[in-house]
Amino acid sequence: MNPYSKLPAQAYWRTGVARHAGSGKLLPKLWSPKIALSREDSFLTVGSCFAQHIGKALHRAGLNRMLVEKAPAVLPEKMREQFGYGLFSFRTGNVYTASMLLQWLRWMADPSRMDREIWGEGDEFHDPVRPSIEPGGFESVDDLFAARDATLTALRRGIEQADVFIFTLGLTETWSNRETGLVYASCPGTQAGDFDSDRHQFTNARFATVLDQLQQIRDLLHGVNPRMRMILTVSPVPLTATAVPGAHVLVSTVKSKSILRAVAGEMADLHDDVDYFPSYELVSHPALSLPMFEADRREVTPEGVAFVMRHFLAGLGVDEMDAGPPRPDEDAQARARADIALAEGDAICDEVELDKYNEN
Amino acid sequence: MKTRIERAYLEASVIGDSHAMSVWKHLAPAIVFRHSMTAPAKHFDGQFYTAEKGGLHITSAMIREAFPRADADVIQVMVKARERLDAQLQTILAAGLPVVSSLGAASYRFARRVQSADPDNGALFSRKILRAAAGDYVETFVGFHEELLRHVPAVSFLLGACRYPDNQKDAWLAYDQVMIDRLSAIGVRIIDVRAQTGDDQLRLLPEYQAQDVLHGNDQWCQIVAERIIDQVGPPTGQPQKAAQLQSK
Repeated sequence: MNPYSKLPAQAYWRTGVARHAGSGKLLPKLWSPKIALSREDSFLTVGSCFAQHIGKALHRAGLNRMLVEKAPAVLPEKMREQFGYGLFSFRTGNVYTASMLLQWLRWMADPSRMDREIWGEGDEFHDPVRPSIEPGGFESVDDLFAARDATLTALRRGIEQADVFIFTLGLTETWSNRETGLVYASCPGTQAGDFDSDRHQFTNARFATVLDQLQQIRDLLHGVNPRMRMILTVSPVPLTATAVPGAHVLVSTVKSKSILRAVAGEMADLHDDVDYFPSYELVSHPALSLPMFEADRREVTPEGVAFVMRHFLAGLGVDEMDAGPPRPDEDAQARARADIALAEGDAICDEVELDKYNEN
Repeated sequence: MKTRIERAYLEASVIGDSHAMSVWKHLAPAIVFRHSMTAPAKHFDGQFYTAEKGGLHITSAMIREAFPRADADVIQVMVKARERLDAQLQTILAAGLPVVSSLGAASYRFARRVQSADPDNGALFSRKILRAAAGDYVETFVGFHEELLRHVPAVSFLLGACRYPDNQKDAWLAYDQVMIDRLSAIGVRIIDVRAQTGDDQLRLLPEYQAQDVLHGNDQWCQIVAERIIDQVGPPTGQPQKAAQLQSK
């Protein structure tokens, strides 16, 4: 006998991965959440564009994905996502980095610390922390900050009420204001605003920085709701472009995702109330031999998204965690609903805007 | 015993909800519109009209979608009401007179629905969002007026009394402006007395408020009536044969 004797099937590559490669079927026991989860839990979802899929999958599966910041009922369905409603639990827009989420939570904890920088263009005003949230920009500075106040209020209310906070990490590359420290959602001058090399600085966050930010995020969440549990995921969507001087985008992507993956794992190792869900691995690993990327080799295919989400829902108990009698039909329906939902439309990604600056 | 009332006739028809009804009530019995089609706003929820083969009709075909929670008895009442409204509309179209309409003067209903997203805070939404929402909300009303203009020489739209609560101001004013813009663009004349009867935020001054929470009082109706007369011409004393006399 040795430690590798009689391990379960998922512990061996041949039976855990190779046996299932190319089948598109669930990898059994891929994710068994270490944090207690039930169908009664309420979930908040925030993060990069891939996080939108998680939120929709939870909702379609009949789980309680909280939409805390709601559009007015009279706003047509087709316009809600254009205005940033329904993508995440809050109208934050894409939150690609831990530094962005930390900034939101700090403002929630103490609104007096909120930065007042705006990006004004004529009579259009863009919020530097979510420049695409209002198509064409806000019409006044008052509207912009009223909307931000509404989001901060929603953040607090959601965190007070929810059981689980799901954060999908997307990037390490960040742009910020050198003087004020304001972290931007995107590089000034790309979606809105004007780039100023004296004022705007680029940072590629390292392991220790991201870990520290996630620790602070957890502390802030617990400051409002000590019972809050976290699930961290890493978006498998590659970078559209890298700002690291001289770097190849493939190398920057792998470096960025590797750091995020490692930090997420570290957080899960450090804290009993933090878990990691391997969406990144499911999409990115070539051994699974599944067509995961669209022709642009960046967007994840609907089938790929559905594949990830089936594992996520299985881990949440749609298949196995029921305390009551098995409900195969309902589970199948839930998975089907998730598949359909995920096949509907693409996620809204601000970062993809960067490719319009590609003149090659 | 039937008594003939001496009354003057506005050479126009009136179409609309409770705002039009209150103006009508204020004018009558001395002055009346030639024809009318009025009912509370709820009767015009959802897709309430059809325009096919050159005609324009009030329809109840989509009434279940408009009132999904109503029971069968309520639906039956609503269907009957729409049948009556359609008969009135056909008379109005046949008469071919200018029309004064308040159909879609629904700022109150719109603003309340906006606030329902967060009852504690009615100021959540930017003006751009409110306009986008209002633009969708008014679509059916604008479409009806556009069709109506194919049948009658002119249409005037009467904005309702502007009585918003503080936390519904932006939604209310956004809705009004969208109605004004959209209807003006298709050639509908606007009867807007907000500047005359409201404060600097266009909110109706107390001296023009009816005792309910929504409508203008007799003074407000009088001002509106004067504007209507400006647009459709002074009343005449010549009853049409078809004009039905009231019994007193």
